Amino acid sequence: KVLPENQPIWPVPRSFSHGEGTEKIILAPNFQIKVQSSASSPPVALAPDSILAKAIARCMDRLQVKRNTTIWTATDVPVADITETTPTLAELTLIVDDTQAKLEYGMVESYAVNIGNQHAGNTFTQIVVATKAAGLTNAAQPNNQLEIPNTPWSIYDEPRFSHRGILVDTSRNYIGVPDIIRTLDAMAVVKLNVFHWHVLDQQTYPLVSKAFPDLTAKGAQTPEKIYTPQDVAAIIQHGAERGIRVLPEFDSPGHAASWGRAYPNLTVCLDALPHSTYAAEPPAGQLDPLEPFTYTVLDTLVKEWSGQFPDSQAHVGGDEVNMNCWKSSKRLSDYIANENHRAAYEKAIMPFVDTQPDDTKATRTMKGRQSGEDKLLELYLDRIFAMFIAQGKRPIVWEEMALEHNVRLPSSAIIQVWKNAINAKKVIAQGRPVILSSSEFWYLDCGAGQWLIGSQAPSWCKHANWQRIYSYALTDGMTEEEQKMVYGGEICMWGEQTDSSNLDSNVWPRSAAAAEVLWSGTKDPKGHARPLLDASRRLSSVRERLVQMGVKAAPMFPSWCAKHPEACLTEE
Amino acid sequence: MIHAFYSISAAVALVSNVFLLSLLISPDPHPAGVQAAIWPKPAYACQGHRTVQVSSKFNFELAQDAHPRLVEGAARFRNRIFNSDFVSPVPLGAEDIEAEDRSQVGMLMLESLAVDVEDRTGNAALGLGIDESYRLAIAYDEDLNTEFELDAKLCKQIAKEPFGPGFKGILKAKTIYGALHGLETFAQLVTNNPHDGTKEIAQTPLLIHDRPLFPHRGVLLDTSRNFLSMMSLYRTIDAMAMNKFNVFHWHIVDSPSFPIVLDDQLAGEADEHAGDASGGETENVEGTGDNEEYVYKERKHTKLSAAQPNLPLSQLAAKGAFSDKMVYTKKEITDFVDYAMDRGIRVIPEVDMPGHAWSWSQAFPEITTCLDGFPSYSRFSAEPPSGQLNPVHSKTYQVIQGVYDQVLPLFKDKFAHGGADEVNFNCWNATASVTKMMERKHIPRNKEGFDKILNGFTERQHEMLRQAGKRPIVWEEPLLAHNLATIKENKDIVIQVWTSAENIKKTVRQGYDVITGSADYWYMDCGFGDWLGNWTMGKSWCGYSSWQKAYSFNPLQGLNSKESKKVLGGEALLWGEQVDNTNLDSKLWPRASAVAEVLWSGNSDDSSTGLWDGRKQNKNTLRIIEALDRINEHRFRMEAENILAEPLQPLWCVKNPGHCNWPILDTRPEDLAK
Repeated sequence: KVLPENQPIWPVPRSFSHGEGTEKIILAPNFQIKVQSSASSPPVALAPDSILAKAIARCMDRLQVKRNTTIWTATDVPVADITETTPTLAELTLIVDDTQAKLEYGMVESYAVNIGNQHAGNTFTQIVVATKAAGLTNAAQPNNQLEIPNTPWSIYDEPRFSHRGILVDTSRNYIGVPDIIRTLDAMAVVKLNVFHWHVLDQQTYPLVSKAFPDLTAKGAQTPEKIYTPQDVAAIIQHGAERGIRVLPEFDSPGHAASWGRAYPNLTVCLDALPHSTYAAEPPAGQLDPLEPFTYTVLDTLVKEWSGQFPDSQAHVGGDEVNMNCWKSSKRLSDYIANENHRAAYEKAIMPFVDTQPDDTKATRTMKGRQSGEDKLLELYLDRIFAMFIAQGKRPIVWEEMALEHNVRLPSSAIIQVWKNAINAKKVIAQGRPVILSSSEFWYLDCGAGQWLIGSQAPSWCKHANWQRIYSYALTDGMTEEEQKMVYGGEICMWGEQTDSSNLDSNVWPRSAAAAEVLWSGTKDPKGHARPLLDASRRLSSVRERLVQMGVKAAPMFPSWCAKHPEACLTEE
Repeated sequence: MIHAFYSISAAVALVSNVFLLSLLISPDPHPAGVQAAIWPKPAYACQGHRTVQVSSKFNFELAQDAHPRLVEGAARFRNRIFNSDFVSPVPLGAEDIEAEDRSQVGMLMLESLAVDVEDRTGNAALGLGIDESYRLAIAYDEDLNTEFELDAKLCKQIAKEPFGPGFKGILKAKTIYGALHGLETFAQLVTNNPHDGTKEIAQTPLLIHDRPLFPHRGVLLDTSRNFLSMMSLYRTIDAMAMNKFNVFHWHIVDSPSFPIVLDDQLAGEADEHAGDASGGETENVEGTGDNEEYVYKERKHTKLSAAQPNLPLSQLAAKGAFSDKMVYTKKEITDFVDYAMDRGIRVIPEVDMPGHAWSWSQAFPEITTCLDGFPSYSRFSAEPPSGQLNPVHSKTYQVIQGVYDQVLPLFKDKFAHGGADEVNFNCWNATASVTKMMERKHIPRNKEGFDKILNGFTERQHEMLRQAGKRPIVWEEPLLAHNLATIKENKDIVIQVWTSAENIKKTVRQGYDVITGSADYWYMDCGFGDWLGNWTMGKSWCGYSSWQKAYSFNPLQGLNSKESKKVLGGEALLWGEQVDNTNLDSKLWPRASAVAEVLWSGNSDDSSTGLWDGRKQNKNTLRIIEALDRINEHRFRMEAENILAEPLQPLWCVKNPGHCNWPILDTRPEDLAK
């Protein structure tokens, strides 16, 4: 069952029904939206700066834009003429069960929409039942039409996965605050709800710390290319108003050369050459896990971050830790190689953490003997996890921590899988929940050629067009129990070859394809794959909507195909 | 396998380059070239080590009767220089000003640049092969002979000279177009002092002798697959001028849309053209009951007798454009052509035919064949929608003539592109009017037979082009795939090679001038996945060309010197299937800049002399490491001029030259020098 061509809702709702005839409703000129806490209660007076009031205002603004413009590709579907007897919709009633719901993983985002089911002369009253505040922003979206064809409509919708994100890397190249704001606006259109902010990495440290301002003063690329506390607060607020969590990534202990610009003794192998020996990409540099000062800085930074970012989860990084880097330090290689010296080294940093991370259930990722390298890594991890957990944050780490190192991880840790799709099951087999971002499907940066100089080689990973992205069946081949361990996924915009100039066209509309996978799943409720023709028609409409909003979403195909999607299929 | 081969061989070449460079020029890691990262690199340059300040009263001294194009150009460059606050993120430029020198003698001031153009009044028409050379000197008066000839002795001498009076700037060019290139170079030389915002030129005295390797240096944009706004096209011209491109190949009409707004043609209006234009006899044959008129031309140089009928040509755009806003009016086109020519850029139109012609069908269904081939469009065309012009219908030629009569005069260039790519014989073979005519004429329905039909069409089309004063350019297929008689008989037709670089040699050996730019290197649209709607594993048919790959292409590879002369140049081609206003800039720039430099001054340095001669590039080594810093700077320079060129690397790499090399080269130039 697919949506009618003149209602290209994206992502497709969980279930819906609509009139099959030509019946429709037009929006009254004085159309308004009000809020009630139940069907029988009186309207609620909203504070003008409340999330709901702002969402309603935005919805009304979008209606106004729609009144003034048309999307040229809109499929020409015959609709009945508007006559004197065409009913009008004067009012939309939002019934919100819980206006205080917290924005967090697992929040209820479901909503129901009923339009035109209750006759009252020529005027209909639309009833929207949304269970929680966060669902509301979404509920308003499918109904932005000035006329609502195929009435009556009945929709019940809820997301397949609770964690639906985009990763944006602002360290390789700086992304301006307005660009991030615009990305959040676009995310809201397709019901994505996590902005994974990969804010720090090898190349730059653009996030201003009050306690350690030199990290940015010396670690940012220019004095302008930074994020001030005000910028961060504005981004978090903008996301929260759209039901989007801002999830920062504290990438460590690898990918930390930028920390060393201000504090060289925090890092080892800084700028070591050849970089390919010491790091995945230049410049090399990792945090020094045996340096007491490392933990002095971390302890303060984790507290500062936790105060800044309200989300109850925090990404701790953990990708691509390079043991050659650590071994290039006498002290660290000594620790790795010589068991007898370990206690002495550990004593030096003992004051920082002397307990295990979150609970007694923390478990090693592998059976068997632990290597000296992993002992060193675990020493670091115990401390960084404990610091975040003490601040009430549930940690997320990249898959290497679970699959490539034998280290102790908190039982609450969530693992983000990126290397390939099949690793999801391996992590789940350890009893750990996952967020999926396989680079085989959901790396938006792939395919733009090698950016290191002296090679005409293609990228290490292939370009994924929207159809490839759309085909990422996150839970295929999993048992029901395994599926429950999939918290969701993220599509990743790594920044080596992306900045403000091409962010939009690299991210959109391809991320919308991921959004539908995450919200609606790759299969319909009967287990059939969703037809690509229907998806292509609806996605091209989303793309036009994004362009109209000022998001430079790339064209999917020649414009001719937007009008004739059925003619632009590959023969098989 | 192929990729592995490329990377290894390129890497080996580069290693040797690094060693040679370091031996010659250590310890300075950025020796050759002009200090501000001029892009494309000038053919010859030498410079000293002093910084001169550009006075706030600076002006260009032009002749009293200078051509308005030059006068306006100079004003434009002055605005650009003085309105720019661009500071390069690449640490190459003006920061090495020697403080002691400044305090001792103060800053040298450059008050003016004298612009001396031999063809002062601009009589030389902008066209293929016009002299685009220039010579730029910012030096002491006494060093400059009248031609300020460059030689190693002078270069050595100016490098050592102390500060003193008599410093001046002179730009000499044969034509105003050479002068415009010189002004672009001058504008790139001027940098903003990041401390006080003053305008400076580093590494003076300097002498530049510059001229392009190739006369045809183009960018192709496709405005039929997706619409590009006039603003996008104007911005592209601005960017092209910054890269010394000189041809805008406008692939304006293709199958998906017909975006040119034409006027209806009234009966008799076109008679004067019809008289000599067609040159072919039309033979009218009774139809098959559809009342169709079949035409096939057998003899040449006879008159087309029929008077032109009423042709509602306005309907081509009214029905064939994507919307009434996604069109170009004649006024918009002529204004655009003027704008481009003001910047030394020729505009060459391509109304593609006889394939790629679905868009004509909405107004004139009777002149098109095999429309809407879905679900089997691939039998009839390379991509949807299928549709070709009907070669045996007389009205086809009337409509083409009508379109040409209105379109060709809008473009002032002596060349017009006739298209002729991907003509699909299955399409014609499935068209009753075509096959019936072939049967009547005993033309076999095999490749030879259809080649004959295509030859008749092409001959007639080219006669119309020539009648309008245009020399035809065609894609490679009419020669290489169809061996058309009319191409064989007219060696002045320019062949544009696109399927593979190997076809360059085949084409020049048959004696044709060639435009290069094939899908294996210079297709800027490749690599973004299949755009057709139900194929999740779909790759592009051609691989992505990174700037490094684009830069590695030498259009003269494997040609002898005589053959090399037949290579007019090349084009960076951006087909429009997945490109519109949203991503045009980032798909095109700065990768097309890599193409620009290859076409202007080649991709290799002569490391034995320090002076670089692009003509010898086969013997030399790819200069990609040196080019990287300049193209990185050029990318940010374009961005500062509102061209949304995309980043090539993390900004850290841009700011730390030499630190982001492919592992085999993973050593800093300064380390190598030790």
